[in-house]
Amino acid sequence: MKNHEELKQLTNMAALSLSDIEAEKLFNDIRNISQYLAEKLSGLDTRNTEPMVHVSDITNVFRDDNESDPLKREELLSNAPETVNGCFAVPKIIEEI
Amino acid sequence: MKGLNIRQTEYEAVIGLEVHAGLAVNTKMYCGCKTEFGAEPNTQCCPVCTGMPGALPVLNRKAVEYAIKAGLATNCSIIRYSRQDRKHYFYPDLPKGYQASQHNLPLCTGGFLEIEVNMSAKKVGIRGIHIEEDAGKLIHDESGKYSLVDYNRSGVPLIEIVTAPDLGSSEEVRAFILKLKTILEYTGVCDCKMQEGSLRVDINLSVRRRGESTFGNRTEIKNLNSVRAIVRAVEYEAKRQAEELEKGRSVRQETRRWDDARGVSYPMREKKGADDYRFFPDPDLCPIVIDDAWLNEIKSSLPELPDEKKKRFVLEYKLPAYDADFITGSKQLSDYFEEAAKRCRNHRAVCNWLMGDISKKLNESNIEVSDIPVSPENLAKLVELTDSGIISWKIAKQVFVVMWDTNRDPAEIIEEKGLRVINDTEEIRKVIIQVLEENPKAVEDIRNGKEKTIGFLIGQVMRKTGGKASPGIVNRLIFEELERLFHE
Ligand SMILES: [Zn+2]
Repeated sequence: MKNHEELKQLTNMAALSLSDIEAEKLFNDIRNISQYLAEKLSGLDTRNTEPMVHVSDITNVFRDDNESDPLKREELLSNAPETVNGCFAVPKIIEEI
Repeated sequence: MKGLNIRQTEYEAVIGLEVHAGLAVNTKMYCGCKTEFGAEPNTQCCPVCTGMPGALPVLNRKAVEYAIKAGLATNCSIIRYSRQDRKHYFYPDLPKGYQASQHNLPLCTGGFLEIEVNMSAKKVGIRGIHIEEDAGKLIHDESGKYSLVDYNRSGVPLIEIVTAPDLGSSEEVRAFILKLKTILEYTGVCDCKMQEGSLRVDINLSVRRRGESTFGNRTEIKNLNSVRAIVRAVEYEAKRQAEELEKGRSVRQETRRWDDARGVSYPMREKKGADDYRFFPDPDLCPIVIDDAWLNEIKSSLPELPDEKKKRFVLEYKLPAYDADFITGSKQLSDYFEEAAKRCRNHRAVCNWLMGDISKKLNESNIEVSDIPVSPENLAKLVELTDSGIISWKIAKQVFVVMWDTNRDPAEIIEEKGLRVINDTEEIRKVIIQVLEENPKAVEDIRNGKEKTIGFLIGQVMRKTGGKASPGIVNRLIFEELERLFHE
């Protein structure tokens, strides 16, 4: 992480808001961690290592196209802070993506 | 925006499409919830498709197979090792904070479709086809205080088909969408009910001076769901961009929305950093490995595709290319045609019924081919009855109207209403003699050389017989009887 601007972009994308003190602490932490990783990685010999495509070596886990019971709507909505007409109610969205 | 017609300017449009097709499967991509359209809000949901913590998604095998089918039908290569990735953004219709999609290793790559516009064929490249899950739906609350979220659509399996920027006009875009739609219908991959949103299109468009090889700044118009809207949006946007350049301004690279009611596109509010989706391999979803056996199984399940079928219809049924194209443009229509054609000898006649009276009725009553009330069997019978001279062409049209309302056997209708052609020479002769007696002036005119009047007399005979007299016999006998009169 080069500067605070980069951190700000990251926290924006993660929808986090940090105080200045938290931001300072996080900036230092992330910088230390990435420096540590960079050092470790640059010391590795990967000449004979296949690129990793996925963390799992299990493949082809599928289900058949068969229906199963949905959740009851009351249950589905039971954690929602607000509901209207069987829907989750969220702060008004001005523009759709 | 009047004045500028891009066809007459030095500018040309460069267009690529992203087509999202809802797969015709019963259940969602990662859970057993139904995909049915139009259910009560939030009644087709479970912890998986609403992103509850700890829920574990399991991929629908059929969705993978349908995506591969679509790839094979559009000349794509099928990748043997495919991966699903998370695409991150925050929006209330996306409960997990990411969409499961495919970024680097989509199931299908490098295909093409051939389209025909103004008699010339063109290959349109397909960069890839990948699977992804749909998002939920936002409903606007009447009170204006909230937005409401319905997650029934969340997790519904989609494929996204991405074309190369090979399209150059609204006609080409239209031809491509129709061709793709036909192929998806033929393969059963998507029902293509555009009014239900099962086919949605994003347009990427830029303009440049004709002959230039670099691309101009492009805009993306999102989420169009009718062929008409797509065509209009392409025309509008090409013109708008050409006019910007003409005025010496530059085109802003941006995402726009199409307002179909007003017929304009307008820029959408951009969120900062929104284009950074931070893709990474979804650790909950295992890679997909497609071996020869599986691929061959999917290949062998592919039906005959529109292009092949068109060629076969020309060869086997001797249809003109234009007619074959029309009939094979819809899977249902071509199935109907074949059902009827195998039951009668005059295949052209079946085709003519479908392209004529039946198409007209379909348009008038706004119903689908699958709902044609006349069965192919009965249409074939009608063709046979007409061909063998039992009824005239004109009567066949009357019988057809009754068949459309009742789907009854045409032979029955003909018997019941007494519509059979009258071949009885003596019976017809009687009518002719009567007509000649009733029209002395016409007979006199013919005697004096006004031969055209014979047509009038034939008309009278047909009227008296309700159109049922065999025209050949009427023609022969009317001359005989006139000769006889003139020699008396
Ligand atoms: Zn579900």
